Amino acid sequence: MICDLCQHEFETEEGRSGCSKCGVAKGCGGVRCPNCLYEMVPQPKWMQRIMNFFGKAGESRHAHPQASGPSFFSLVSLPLNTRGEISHLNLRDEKRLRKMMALGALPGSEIQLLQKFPSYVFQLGLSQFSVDREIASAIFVKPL
Amino acid sequence: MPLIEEEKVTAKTTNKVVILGSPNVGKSVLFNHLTGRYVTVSNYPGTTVEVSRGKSRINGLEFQMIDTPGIYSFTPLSEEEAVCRRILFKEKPAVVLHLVDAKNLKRLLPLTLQLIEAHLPTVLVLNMMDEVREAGIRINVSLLERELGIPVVETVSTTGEGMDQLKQTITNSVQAPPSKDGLPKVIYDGLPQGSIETGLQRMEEFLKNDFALSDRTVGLLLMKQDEEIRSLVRDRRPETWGAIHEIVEETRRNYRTPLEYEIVLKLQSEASRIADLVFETAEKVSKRQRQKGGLREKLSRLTMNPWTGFPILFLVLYLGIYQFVGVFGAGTVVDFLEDTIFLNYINPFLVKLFSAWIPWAILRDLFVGEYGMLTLGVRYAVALILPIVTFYFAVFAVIEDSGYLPRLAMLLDRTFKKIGLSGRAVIPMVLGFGCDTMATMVTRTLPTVRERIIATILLSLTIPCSAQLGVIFGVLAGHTLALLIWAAVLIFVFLFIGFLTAQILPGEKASFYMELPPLRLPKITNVFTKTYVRVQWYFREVLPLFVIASALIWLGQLTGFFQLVTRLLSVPIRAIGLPDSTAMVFLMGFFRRDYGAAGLYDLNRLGLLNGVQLLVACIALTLFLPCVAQFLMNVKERGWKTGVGISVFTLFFSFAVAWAVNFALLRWGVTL
Repeated sequence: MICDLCQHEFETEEGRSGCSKCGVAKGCGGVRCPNCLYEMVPQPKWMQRIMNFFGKAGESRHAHPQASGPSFFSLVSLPLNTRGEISHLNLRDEKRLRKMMALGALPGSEIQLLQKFPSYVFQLGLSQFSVDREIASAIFVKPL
Repeated sequence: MPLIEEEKVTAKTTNKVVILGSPNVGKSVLFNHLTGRYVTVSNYPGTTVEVSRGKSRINGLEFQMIDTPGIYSFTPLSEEEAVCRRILFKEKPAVVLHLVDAKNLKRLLPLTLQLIEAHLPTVLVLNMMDEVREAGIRINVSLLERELGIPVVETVSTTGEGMDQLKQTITNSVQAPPSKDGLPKVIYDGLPQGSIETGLQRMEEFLKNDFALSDRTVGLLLMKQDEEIRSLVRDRRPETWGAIHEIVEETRRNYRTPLEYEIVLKLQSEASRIADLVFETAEKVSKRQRQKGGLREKLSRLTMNPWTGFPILFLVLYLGIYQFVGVFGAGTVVDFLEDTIFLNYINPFLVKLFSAWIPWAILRDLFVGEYGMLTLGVRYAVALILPIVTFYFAVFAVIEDSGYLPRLAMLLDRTFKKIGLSGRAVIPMVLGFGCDTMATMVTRTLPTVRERIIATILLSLTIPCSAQLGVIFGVLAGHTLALLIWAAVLIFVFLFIGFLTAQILPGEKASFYMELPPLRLPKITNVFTKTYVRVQWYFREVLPLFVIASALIWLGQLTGFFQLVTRLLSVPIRAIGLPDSTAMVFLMGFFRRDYGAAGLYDLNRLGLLNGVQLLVACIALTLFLPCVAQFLMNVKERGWKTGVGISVFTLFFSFAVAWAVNFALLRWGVTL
């Protein structure tokens, strides 16, 4: 999603990373922009579906990766079979980062998402890898 | 174990050649070629979990070849990777063969750069050149040699291509060790001041070449916060540790991202630069490769898609394991060997022979009695266990070499997460169906201690080994419903115990990452060799144990101890609804589960048990104590407390489950 305040684009999951430390009861639905810390509530899925149904898909910024300018997706939200280039990684968890580095999933590498269920499968160079959602959500891709 | 301790130099050490590289690039095949020995080779990452050593004579020089488990980088992710790193740093190898899958050179080159950086005498071996050529790629080897400053050899280890040249390069490197000066190095700059590079230069003054690795590598590992290196440097240079630590901290403050990440990025960009330089027609190739994938790629997708993947899994299990191993191996072949060969010819012959030569009935019983060493011990090992294990390992070798296991791991990851494991644990679990002892060793590939403990418990408790599985299939073959209940109970226990242990054991959540090697057609020669080696290993372990167990039972019978134990055992046995005659089976099960299963096979043929009793006995025996070898392996890998704990738990738990199943079946009046 895109931050209403600073227009920084980020993954919804990333915006919820502080939730566990928050004293407020869980499930408030709020998301905090990792760039400017502005708090907002993302559009619910059912509303997006209704908008898609009435042909207002353009307003749901995630339905079409190529819709507007350069944007990136985590592997989790990247449409299947899209080819892209890894733009950056979520560096927060060092152990997870180490695994991504071991596989060679580094910024600049070309990547293609092949499968999402039951695990994420992607092509990196001439090899295929499988990772779980945890790792997939930390790899951000710019569609080519 | 200290990391960079120099090895105590013995009077005359042979030159050591370490083979290393990332998982599944063919290190073990190369080892087999160079030494003439056989270590297991498969098509999945993590086949080798132990270091193998072998002697080799090349051009009149004696070498010790060391085959290592695969590593991705200098920073180990699991136990067996840490072992590999220690070898590299401790044993002062004369040559390090860095084996890479040539078509993935760009991704694998960073490790070569790290080896060069560490001043290890490295030779880069571009393996799987056949796949590269097939894809239409050409690699400019001489340019690559110039760029890296080390020898580069092209090989196809499965066919033996390039081996002569490799051997020549190894001897050359030993006779005229390459100079360590002037090697190209990666520059870790990027900041106007206070960059990693500046930090490294400042650190050199304090490190003073005091380690088996280059100062640069030690410095980089310190920057990466490598615990093993940190404690080593702290111990060896206590007076300057403060200054060194300060440099690392200062550098860390200058960067917004982890230093390890910055270092990897620099290595990767240098690797990409070199790879782009030496790969000719690379762009065209990757397109052709994509089209060429064709059938193989389609089949691979089918195995990974849950809608088709699970039916394929059941088909593999049904045809490969049930029909081939269970019905044909444990049924037809075992019947023939048992009834026709042993009971009709060999056993009567032996009885006659011993009656003629040994006048004392007691001594005769030791060899050819009811539990005789020859008539029972050898018969069980040769006529029952041997054919089953052979059939099983053959099927298993085909599955392993096809590259199916990593795909299965990917398919089952979500389920395994529920029991505290990741898809990586699928491989040791599946191997457990061959031999749980081997599989317990493979749990080393799991990244956390928590996962290793859960996997060990599940292997000891719920996974029947091939011999047991074969016998159980043979026993339950006529009772389809019983077989289904048996499978359902085991799957339930597997998930339930896994779930419980995952709740109890502390530790971080498992995470899953795995390379999916291309599907390959298994090579017949490798399938045969692997089956032969494993069966031989298994048989060597089983035969003496069976014979000794028979002798012990004979001794027990003689002294009356045996009758006492049988009477004691009959209490729980009656509780689970079995006749007293089965006490014998469980007593045998104490020695080995498969020995017990073999006893059950005999009882079944005498028609002493009804369907429900057979099922209950099968369940109890499957969950029963791990065999002696597995128990020792549990102790070796997990320690005394866990090892003994697992055994005690399984003993009680197996009877508890059997009791519950018997109770439920009787309550509902089920007849099988």
